[in-house]
Amino acid sequence: MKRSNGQALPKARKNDLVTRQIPGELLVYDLKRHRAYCLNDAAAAVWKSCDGKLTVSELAAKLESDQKSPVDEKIVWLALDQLEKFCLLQTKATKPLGLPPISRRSLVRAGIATAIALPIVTMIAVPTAQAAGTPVTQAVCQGRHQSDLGGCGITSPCSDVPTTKCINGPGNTCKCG
Amino acid sequence: MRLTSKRSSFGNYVAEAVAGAWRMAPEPLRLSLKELREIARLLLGTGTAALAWRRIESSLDYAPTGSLLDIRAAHREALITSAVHEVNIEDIFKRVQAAGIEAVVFKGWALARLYPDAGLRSFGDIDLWVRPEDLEKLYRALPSGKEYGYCVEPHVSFYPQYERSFDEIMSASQLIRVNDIQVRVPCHEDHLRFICLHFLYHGGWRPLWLCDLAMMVESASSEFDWDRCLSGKRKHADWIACVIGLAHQLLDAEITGTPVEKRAKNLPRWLAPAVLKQWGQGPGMSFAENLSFSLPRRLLKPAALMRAMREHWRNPIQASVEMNAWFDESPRPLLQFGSAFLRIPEFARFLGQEIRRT
Repeated sequence: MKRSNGQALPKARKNDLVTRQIPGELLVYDLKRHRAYCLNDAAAAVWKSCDGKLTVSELAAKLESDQKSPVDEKIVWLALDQLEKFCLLQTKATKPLGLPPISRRSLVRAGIATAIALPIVTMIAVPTAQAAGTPVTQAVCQGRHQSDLGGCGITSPCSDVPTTKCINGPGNTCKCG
Repeated sequence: MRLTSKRSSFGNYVAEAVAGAWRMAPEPLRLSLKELREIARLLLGTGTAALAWRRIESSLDYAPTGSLLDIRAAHREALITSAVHEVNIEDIFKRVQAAGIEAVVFKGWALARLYPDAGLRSFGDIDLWVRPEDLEKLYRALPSGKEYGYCVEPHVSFYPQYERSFDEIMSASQLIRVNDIQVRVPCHEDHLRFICLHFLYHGGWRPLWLCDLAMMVESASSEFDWDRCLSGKRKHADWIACVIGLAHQLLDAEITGTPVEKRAKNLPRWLAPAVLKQWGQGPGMSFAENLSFSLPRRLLKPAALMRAMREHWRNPIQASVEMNAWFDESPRPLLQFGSAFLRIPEFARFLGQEIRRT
């Protein structure tokens, strides 16, 4: 989405993401990259407001009215920088020429981070399915209970199928192959 | 149940940390910060931290630090992965149904959905029970490669003591709607029987499993068919009653009015201490793959042999199940020796393979 002056308007990515809200935080899981992020309230508010129709100054005004406290545009830029870094934006905003790099420290020094918390997006450790589940190695396949054909049987793996051995199958299963 | 050894004390702390955590309004925690820190590793290592966080959070009047932060992170992680699993389950069942396969989901997701909050019950792989003749079709239906972030563990039969066929499970199973798809899970009676046996087969090392069945027993409606759950050989019905008794004695599960109440209050003296000792020890119960693969490797490094031997000695619960013994007051070491003896051929075969390989 672009304004008539050619300025790109930030739009939050919605596809292939799963979210869960908990008090003070929004958890986001990227199904494509298999990464999870934690957005604090300020970052979540910016992200949810990025509908591709509002400019950065309009976003700041919206947050100001939602949170009933002054919100500097630089706070919105800080949030957008982080959202973009973690691929949570479908369309990134065009930065005005000459806008200096914005960091949390620079905002604190400038006294901008006062009424509302600074937006923070952090990556959180979530095990991959392979790590969270039983790690499916040949040893695991062979070690699964004999009655589970999901494993290849612990006594004589794949012995009924000559020249085959227990290997990892699709969906991290085990099979003789 | 209070015991004196350090391992059992840790087991007691773990039991206290998760007791009643599955309820809508769990009671405040009665553990000190020092005690919590001592068992943080055990909670995290057994997938029980998210449940424990529910009780810790309600008792905490200060910002969490150190290991408490790790426990909170585990809850956060379980919360977001539960949402991801829902997407995965939907994808799996779309594929399964498109392939014309009938499948029932056990454990993990099928249990997690019964807890009051998403993310209280962490789980990894997705256990599907299918007919043996559908197994090949299932392999073809599932995506290959790692781009799909889920693990499916297919089963075509379960423990012999389960005494239920796939068709019997199917006949009483329930359909649960997940977004646009219907997912089949076993009825509560069949599921409870299964998770009791699963707990025993793995030597009861995960406190989470006992929470699952405590939650199921407490949420059982007046229509819960105990006859269906317990039907089968008398010995196996007694095993199930004993596991429910463990949930009562260790986690304060409410069992009043159930047919297992009398047995649950009168367990063999070795049983609860064996579970607490195991909980105090943490993960690492001797799975078959550990027995078969890590021990031979360690044999080649004699310094680690003693530790390995200790790890691979079955606990009294697992030994009793492997020897198909009654849960009575008879001494367990005999069964533990018996279990170790019966596994000698298996061990020798893998040892030979390992020596040839190295």
